[in-house]
Amino acid sequence: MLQKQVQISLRRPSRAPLRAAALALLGSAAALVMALGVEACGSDSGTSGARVALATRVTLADGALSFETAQGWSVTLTRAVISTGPFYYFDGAPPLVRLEAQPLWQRAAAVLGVRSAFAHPGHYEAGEALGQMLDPWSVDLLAGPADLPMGEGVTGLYRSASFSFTSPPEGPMAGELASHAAVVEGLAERAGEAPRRFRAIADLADVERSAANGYVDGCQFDELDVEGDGLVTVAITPKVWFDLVDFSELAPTADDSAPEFPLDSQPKIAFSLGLAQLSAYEFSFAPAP
Amino acid sequence: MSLSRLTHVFTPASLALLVGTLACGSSDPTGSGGAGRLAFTTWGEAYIEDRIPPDPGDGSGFIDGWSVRYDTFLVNFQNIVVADIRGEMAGTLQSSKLFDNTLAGVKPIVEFDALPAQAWERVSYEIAPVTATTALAEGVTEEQKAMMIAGGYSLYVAGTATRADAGEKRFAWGFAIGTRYDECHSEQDGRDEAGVVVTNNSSVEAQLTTHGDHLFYDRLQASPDPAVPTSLRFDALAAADANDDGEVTLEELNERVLDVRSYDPSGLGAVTHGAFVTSLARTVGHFRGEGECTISGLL
Repeated sequence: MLQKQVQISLRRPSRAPLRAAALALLGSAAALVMALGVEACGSDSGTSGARVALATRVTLADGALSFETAQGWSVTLTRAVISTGPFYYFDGAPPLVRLEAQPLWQRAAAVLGVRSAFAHPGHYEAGEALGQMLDPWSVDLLAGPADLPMGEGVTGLYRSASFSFTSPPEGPMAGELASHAAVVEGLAERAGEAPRRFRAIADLADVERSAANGYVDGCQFDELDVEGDGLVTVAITPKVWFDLVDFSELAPTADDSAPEFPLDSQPKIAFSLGLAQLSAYEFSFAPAP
Repeated sequence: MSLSRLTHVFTPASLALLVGTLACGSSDPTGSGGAGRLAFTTWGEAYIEDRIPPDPGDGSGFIDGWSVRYDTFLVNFQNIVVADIRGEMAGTLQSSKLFDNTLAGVKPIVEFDALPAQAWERVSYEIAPVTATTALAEGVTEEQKAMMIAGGYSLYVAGTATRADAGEKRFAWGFAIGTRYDECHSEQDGRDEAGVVVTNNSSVEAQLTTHGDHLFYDRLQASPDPAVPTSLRFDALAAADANDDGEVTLEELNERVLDVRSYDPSGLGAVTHGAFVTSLARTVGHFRGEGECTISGLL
């Protein structure tokens, strides 16, 4: 099986030209197709996994409808529609730091669902592609868990994933999205500030500033040895999209209208960067009953 | 199997544990058999020993006109491991040693003598918090060690940033993080080489190079757009000096929300400049100059 690597490195300005981050999707998909083809032909090379069917679901993370951003804004979402592209699953470890020996309070926090991992820069090597869901789709995150088209893969140790946005949107929310990759509306409040209604819109080009071709690489896939058919769930945490947004740069509105983030404004830039944050997307797998 | 001889530059008391085994039947691309010497060293290069200049136009310096001169660059190396691709270890140094890479020259860390002449593809090391058993390299004081222990630091940098029209800003940042650098590789003779290749009756150097400019990058990862460079900046850090006392502290940086017009967390979070710099501190460790390793966090 072809080795797929995503090497996203910081090159010193004075040295060799900067290496552009490149997700070898074509190679990855080809590698996975090869693996699936070998399995389909009944070849037992002993080096590739068995084929598995992977249902796919996108959902809002628990308690993610309302949240406090890192800048102290309490945000309640009233609309969140996104246009998704392919998802890929890999055996490479995500660029996340986990304490190797967690103190008691962090273990307790983990039980309560508070994440103690954080992402760090360096090399993310995706490793071998193990699974995929290739169909573009669109999801209303506030309408409950959304089932996407089926994916497929091979057995193996799943550890990281690529989430993607795409355009033009397809699927049930395509009409609402028009050509956008994400449309999110809500209310942001902070003590001492007038409430801000907002409409955050991002096109694929906005996401691509930080995520090549709209792919957010290195997302965590809750590490598991996938041994058969099952369901891949992507839990999305919109708080991450808004952590960098300074809502105070928006003018308060006298009515209930929700103004768009102005072009080239801090909120617009910050929201676009937020959509490309790998920590906003967490993948997990549950075996079929 | 027999233990490989270790010629070390630590005092015997500072070595916690040494394990060295000869790999049997390992790959030997040299085909020559025999044994050679592998020497681990560290160096801070000109950016740490001298200064990081304003950008002369090629992106090699601060694009906002600052220059930075370090007066202290303390880094604590530990757990150096040399193994082949199957994980058979040739040598390991589990103890730690603290260096100041503002001191001029390449500094020895440890030497492994009589390593079988072959490829040792799996080289790894850690930059981890200083402990009571940490040895001190030449020029590093007990006071500095005590400071590192008190702060839980693995890396401590101090210096001054200068710009003619903006004056000076001092900084002294201690990073209480631990980072592991695995599967280190580098370009040798035009090709990518994993780890090191030891050849018969010769000596090879594996330098753990520290890149002092990384702390001032404006991105946590290279842009997917090759036309968008990673640049060195200090303006936003200078502006974080909230009490205008001429010193930019890590606490002040932690209070400073990331300037998204100039900085890109590249998908990796970091909402404040403090979190951003701390993330970049994990990228300081390199291998044989520009070589890189897979980074994972110890803490």
